[in-house]
Amino acid sequence: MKPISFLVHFLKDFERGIRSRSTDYLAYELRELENIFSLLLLGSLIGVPSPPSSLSFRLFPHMLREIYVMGKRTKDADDVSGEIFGLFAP
Amino acid sequence: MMCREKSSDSLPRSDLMKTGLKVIFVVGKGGVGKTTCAAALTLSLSKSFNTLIVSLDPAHSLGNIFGTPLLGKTKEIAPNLSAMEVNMEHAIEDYLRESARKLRDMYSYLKTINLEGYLDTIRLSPGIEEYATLEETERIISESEGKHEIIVFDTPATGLTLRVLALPQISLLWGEKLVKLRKQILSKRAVMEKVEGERKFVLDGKEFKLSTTEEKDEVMQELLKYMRQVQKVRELQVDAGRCQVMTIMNPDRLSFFETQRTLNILKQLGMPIGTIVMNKFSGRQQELEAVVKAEATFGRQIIKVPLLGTEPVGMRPLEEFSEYLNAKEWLPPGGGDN
Repeated sequence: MKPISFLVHFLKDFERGIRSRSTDYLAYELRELENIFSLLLLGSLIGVPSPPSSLSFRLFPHMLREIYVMGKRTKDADDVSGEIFGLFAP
Repeated sequence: MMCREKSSDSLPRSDLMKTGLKVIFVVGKGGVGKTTCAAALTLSLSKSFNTLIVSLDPAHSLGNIFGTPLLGKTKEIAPNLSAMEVNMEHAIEDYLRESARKLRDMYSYLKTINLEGYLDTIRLSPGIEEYATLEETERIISESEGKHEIIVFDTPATGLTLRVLALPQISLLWGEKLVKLRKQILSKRAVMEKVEGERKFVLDGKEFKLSTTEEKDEVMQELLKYMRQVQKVRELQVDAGRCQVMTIMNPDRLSFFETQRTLNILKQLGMPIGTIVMNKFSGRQQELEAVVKAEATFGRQIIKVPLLGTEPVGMRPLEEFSEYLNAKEWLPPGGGDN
């Protein structure tokens, strides 16, 4: 492979890597926000101050994604450090 | 007797209806005579306006006062006068049934779970009764536009009433915070979509697309719809031209303290405080002192209604009772003389 072609490939892979890494952080942040959104609405179940039940009931039927994320976060709750360090893994 | 003289003036129609439907909430401690005062007032108002009286109290007695069954349906009981008792049990059941239907549509993979059993538990959870009361109030007000000119709500005991009246303000505060959070979620999803393309997630083999705009996001749309509904009630609540809270009390210390607490909370909620009625007033020295104290504390004249020898039940006794209430003073401002 010519040096110039190698450099192009390298830069493309590097850009792809950077892009993927940047969305990893964003995806993590997004999951946290979705989780917080569900926790706020359903928090009365675990003692977190919550909006009036009426508001929770109104939104509940539309929150499939958020409840899915919350369930997943609960499952991974015993390995929080694993998830955080996973973000820094090469 | 130092009571207000009987007033039989017909009420001025004037500009009252220019601002649309008027709503009067009659509040007070249990047993002070809220329902009797509300019924007598409505009867008096019905001489000049098309009036509806609604009992929101789960322990209804409006039907007993008018001598006709009123549970769950609006009934015309006199010319220009309709009445109903809200069937709260049914209202809660309807509300939960509708919630269950929506839940079933969305969480179809939960079919194996006994949703009905779950809803039986929710029925008793805190806040349901307040919300069902608020929803019924909102529904009745919406349906009465163009049909009635004044609605008088006879409310349950103070605790529940104040929680219901506070609900719109609390819901709006929460709603604003949730809208802000939801916008953050959607904006991050949109960025992710730009980088990675359309995003989906799969649950039990079914694929769901993640919405990135407010218009396509069901949660945001439902949230905004809820806020619009609540905002409408809140706007009515604080509009002194359309809404008044009338307080009924008795000439005793407990009633005085509860009225004081009620008025403080209503003030915090920004609700227009209207006439205060001291019902069952016998004119004894101690009670006269109570009136002076109440007038000084609450900063307004108190309408005194005497303790009657017989119960004001039925149309004729109520009409006599209503003469002690100067109904003109119960109208929200905007209903003044021509």
